[in-house]
Amino acid sequence: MNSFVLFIFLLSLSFQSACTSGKPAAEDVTSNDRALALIDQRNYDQAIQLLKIELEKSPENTETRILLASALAGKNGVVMTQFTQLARTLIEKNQTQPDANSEKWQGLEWQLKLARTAFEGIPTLDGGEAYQDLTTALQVLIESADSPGIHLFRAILRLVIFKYEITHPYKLEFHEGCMVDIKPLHAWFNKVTSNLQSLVADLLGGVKDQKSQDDLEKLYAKILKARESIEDTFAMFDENGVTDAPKIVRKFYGACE
Amino acid sequence: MIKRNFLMISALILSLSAQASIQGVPTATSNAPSLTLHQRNLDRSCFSIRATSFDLDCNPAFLADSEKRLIRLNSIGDDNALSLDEYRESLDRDDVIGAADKFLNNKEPVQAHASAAAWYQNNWWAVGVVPVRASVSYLNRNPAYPEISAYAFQESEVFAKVGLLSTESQNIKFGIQTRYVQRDFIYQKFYALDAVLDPEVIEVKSNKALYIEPGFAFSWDSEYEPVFSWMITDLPVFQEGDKIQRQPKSDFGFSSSFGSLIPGLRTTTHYHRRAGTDISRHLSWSALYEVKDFAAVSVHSGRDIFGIAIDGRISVFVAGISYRNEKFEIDSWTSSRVRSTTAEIGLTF
Repeated sequence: MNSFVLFIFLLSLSFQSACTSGKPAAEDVTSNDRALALIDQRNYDQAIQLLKIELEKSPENTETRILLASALAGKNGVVMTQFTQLARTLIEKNQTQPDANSEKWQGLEWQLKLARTAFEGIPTLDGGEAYQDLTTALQVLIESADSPGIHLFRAILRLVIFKYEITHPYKLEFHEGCMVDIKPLHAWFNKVTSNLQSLVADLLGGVKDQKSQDDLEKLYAKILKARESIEDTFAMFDENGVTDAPKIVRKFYGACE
Repeated sequence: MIKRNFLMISALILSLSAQASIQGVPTATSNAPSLTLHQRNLDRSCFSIRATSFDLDCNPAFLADSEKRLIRLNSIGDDNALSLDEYRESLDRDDVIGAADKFLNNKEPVQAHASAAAWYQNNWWAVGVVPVRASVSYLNRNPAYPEISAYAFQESEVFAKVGLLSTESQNIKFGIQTRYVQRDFIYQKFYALDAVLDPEVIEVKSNKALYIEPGFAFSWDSEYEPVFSWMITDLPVFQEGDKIQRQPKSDFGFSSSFGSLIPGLRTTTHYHRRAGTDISRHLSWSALYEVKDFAAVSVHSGRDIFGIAIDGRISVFVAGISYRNEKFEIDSWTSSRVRSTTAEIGLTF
């Protein structure tokens, strides 16, 4: 019977331990936990509000930065499942590539088709407010500690921003006699190409395999070269201030015909 | 005296140990008994209720006065394991994007289990082997920057259990179960984008462990076969490799039958400490009804879980099916339900 008494004692001991343990205390539940729950519930505005306060309190907290950028992106429909088509296009590109013996124009056509399909696969932002949200999200991540995932997230945000900027070009003001001030257009071009350059730099910071790094480094060098060339061209016009609109600008804006 | 000291030390370990877990990973039942359909359905309350005539007692103390000789080969698997197989098929077709898309679109927690086992019981002792036991639990959160909480393991096991009657009284039973387990596992929270660029972020760990798991039962002479039982599980005496996040656990229960009123029916009220201070979280109630020795139905219910299982045997063949509906708390504000249907096929001699 002594064993039975011991058994009851152990039973009560375990019940006692159960009453003093278990669910985390309220102070253990962080604002980040709450924000993640709000994000999962698609309650983005409340999550953003909470995370902005949290970020002011602890600007070094990488998790808070990731969550705030996620909430800003998620609010505007920039979620990972939106990139499926883009990823499929990029992964399957080798399967659709024309063989080496095909005509040169066929290769060019394939490249253009690939670029168009990839471009269409990038989520489209719904207006200037969404663009502003994504720019804020990007800035929040730029100031964050680095990790491969954060690099890729930044590249993804830049890609969406890039699409928005390309599809919303700077509205150039044409004066009488088709005269334009090129400087604001120059600034816009600078912003777009700089974003593209940073996008490739972010990808470079994230990828691990040597082949991808080599490819990206080549692409980075090409973008740098293109930027220099564009800079040289704009520099010529900048010197003149308000100038006669160049042919390419007239064609692009469909102006002065 | 040695036995008493051992029991005291075990109880102290349990009192001090905390249930370490990654928030958001559904691990609550992943290491409960699972050799058979009823064991899986009864969850941890299996430790406090006697098994059917063609099943193996979870608590080795019940083997002390068991009178059966049995060889059993058994396998179980749930429908969630089948849905995971779709990922494998996608990957086999090199459709990485299809698999990723399906994965990212799933916002509910997933918990899947499958295992195969063989054992021999000779009255008061049993030996067995589990060539494979696999379980996967994961949860995908934050659609813009997916955060994956994952717990997956694949293990093999050999076990032996003995039940002994006390020399003082036939009503005091003691049992020991030893298990040697080799496993590969992932127990981690990680960001999907980190893993895309660097798959080594996902750490597959390995572990070997020998567990000694004592069981204890106290009954008294009655038509209703009342039994108080207690069992300690996951008490390692040897571990090698990576540390697995499992703490020793303790289970208590009181079971009884309905005597001649409803022959074959046994019920148990079971206590197992889970996260949370609400006592109802720790208690569960289960019933097992055996029709002669060819069919059995079990029901398991707790605050957040309900399960029902039915199996039967014809000649040497055993088959069964069960359904489980379990509430899973993702965080302090969100909960979800994990539903699974499990099938069993086996042979018994």
